[in-house]
Amino acid sequence: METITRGAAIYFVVLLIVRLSGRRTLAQMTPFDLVLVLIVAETTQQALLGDDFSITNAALLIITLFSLDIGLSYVKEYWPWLANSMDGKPTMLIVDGERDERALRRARVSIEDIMSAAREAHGLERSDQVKHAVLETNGEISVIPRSST
Amino acid sequence: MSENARSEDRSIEIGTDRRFQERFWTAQRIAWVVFVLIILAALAGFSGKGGPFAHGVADGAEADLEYPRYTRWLSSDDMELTLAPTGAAEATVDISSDFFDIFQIENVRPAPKDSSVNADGQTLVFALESPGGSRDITFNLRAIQPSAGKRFTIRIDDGPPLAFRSVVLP
Repeated sequence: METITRGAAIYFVVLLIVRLSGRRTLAQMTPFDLVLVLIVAETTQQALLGDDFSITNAALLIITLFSLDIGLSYVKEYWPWLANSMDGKPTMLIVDGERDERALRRARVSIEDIMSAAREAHGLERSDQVKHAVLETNGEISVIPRSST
Repeated sequence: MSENARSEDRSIEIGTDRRFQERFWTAQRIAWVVFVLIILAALAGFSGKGGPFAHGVADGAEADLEYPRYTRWLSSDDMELTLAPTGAAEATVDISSDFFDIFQIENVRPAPKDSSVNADGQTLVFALESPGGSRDITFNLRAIQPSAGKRFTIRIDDGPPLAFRSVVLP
């Protein structure tokens, strides 16, 4: 029983902390973020397994974690607020060429981040070539360029 | 598509919810403050394993006890008992039975001359005058289950109980 409760507790703790840390933490894999992900993974593993390294314990934990994931995906369908809280919603950062400065500040996204995404995806050179910029739920920035006509 | 998306995103079909997002950003900032407070509390010792508040001291006529005020489930910690000089060749230490519901004693330094278990707990007898004897006794403990601050007692030579509480975090 301890395996299941420990696995569920760690799952929700990590989910809550990752969700509250901000979406940019998910998408920006700088060397610092990579180290952070590796250390968090290692820390979580220790807390999940405790001193029981049996195959049974590992199998129970994996089943528990996947079951939680599947169960929550169904629960989110019935409670949209839970889906919003867990997954978030996209945020418009630039709308029809106009920057939403408040959204940029609150989401901790700079215009340089947007231009980096714009160059990578579309080869854009200037910010006035950006029609829309969206901060997606996975932390990625989607850029819709202005049409060339 | 939400109401928000239709009003502000005239030329793009997207499901945004700015009102929710503003509330979430506020909740996020509050959470960051809570993270800092948790770190400060941990540095102060409220999560055990070091820090000024991690250990407490219970003073008595027969002994002083430094005990883990905050510790963690399945982690190890130390408890230090300093016996008052009485001139006696040995000392008897009685630990209440409920202590062993929460803690496991993994090692005792110096080792007791004798130990016995009874309904009230465990009794340890220490030889103080023999070679290797000492008035400073260290118990290496391991918390075996979480506890919200249960009260335990230690008696020295049937004297008045030294009471202390330990919080074992999960």
